Amino acid sequence: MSEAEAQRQISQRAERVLSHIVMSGAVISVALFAFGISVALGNSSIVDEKQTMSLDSIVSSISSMDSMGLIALGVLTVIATPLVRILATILYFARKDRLLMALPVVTFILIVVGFVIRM
Amino acid sequence: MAVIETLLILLIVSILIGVIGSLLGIGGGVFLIPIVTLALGIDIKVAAATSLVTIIVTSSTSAPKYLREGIVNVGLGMFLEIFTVTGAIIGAVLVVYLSQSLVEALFAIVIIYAAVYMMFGIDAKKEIHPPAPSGTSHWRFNGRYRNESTGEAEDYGVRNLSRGGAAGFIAGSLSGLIGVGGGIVKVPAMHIWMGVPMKAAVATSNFMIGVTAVASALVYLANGLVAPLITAAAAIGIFIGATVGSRSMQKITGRGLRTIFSVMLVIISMIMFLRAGGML
Repeated sequence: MSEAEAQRQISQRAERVLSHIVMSGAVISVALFAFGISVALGNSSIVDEKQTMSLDSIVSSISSMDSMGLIALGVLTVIATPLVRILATILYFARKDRLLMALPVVTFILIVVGFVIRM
Repeated sequence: MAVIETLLILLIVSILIGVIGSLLGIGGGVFLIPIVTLALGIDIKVAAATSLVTIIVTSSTSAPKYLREGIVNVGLGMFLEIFTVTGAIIGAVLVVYLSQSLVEALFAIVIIYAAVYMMFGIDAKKEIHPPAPSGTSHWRFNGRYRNESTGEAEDYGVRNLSRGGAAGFIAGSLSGLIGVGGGIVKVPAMHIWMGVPMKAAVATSNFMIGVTAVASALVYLANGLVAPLITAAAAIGIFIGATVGSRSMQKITGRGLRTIFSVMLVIISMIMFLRAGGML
């Protein structure tokens, strides 16, 4: 088997793993959004739909697990999905292909740095 | 307008945007942002943050299909993500310092480009190999996809990584600045400059969009620009719309509907220009 063919087979296995990760993230987050909005509308707890959230308020609402907490958890799940995909890619390629492992490592570091400098 | 009415309208509009976006082969950001801004009176930066979250949902919904079909060039996608993410972070950091009117003007320019791209851009259904561009093929990123018209697997080489990286940086910057996916920049760059077949370029762009959007979304989140209720309603709507749109029909290839939506985007762009100039 040529090196390119071996490379292709590794990629195909990675594609299957990644597709499960991203789809699960989307379904879970949308379910959390739907549940959160339903609970909020049910107990009329929504005051202002335009209200934005800071990181602190997201953390506190999640810990209280009210309707806004569920929605905030949904936002975090959406955001976490691509990050989990990056980490899964790093783990997947760790022993198979150094270059393909290095690329998502750089991306992950960039994202973390970008977030940290704005905090 | 009562909260429940606002969320219901946003949900319905987002379903329509999800359907239209998947049928036209574009992300919904170019429609969602002006509607949220103009109709609901929400700051364009908050609208951009909302759009970014929905883009991640859309990408997470449609990417698995492309991945299962084996048309995503994962290696190339991960390479270009370094550039799109860098651009996205710089764009999202800059936007905090820009005035609302400047961001609106920039958005208006981008949606005019989106309208032209939609009208005259490359047809995503075509499975043509672009003429091989000059430059050395980088075998680590070479790909293979199944040509549906011939039923056979075809190999393609990937060239001009530096140009592709530059296009990725610009696409990422737009994502960070105004909350769009950036596919309208990445797809033609991959296809024309890098020699990636159209379907593989669209699939790879879609694969990358979630990671690009998350880089800017985190910066928006850190700056307190995410409105959870608006975001949740829009994300549910786009998820439903994109799922229905991608399963029910083929992509719109006829000139008629593309012309209608292009004209709509030009009108939206004019309104955004007037708003940016303080005339609305």
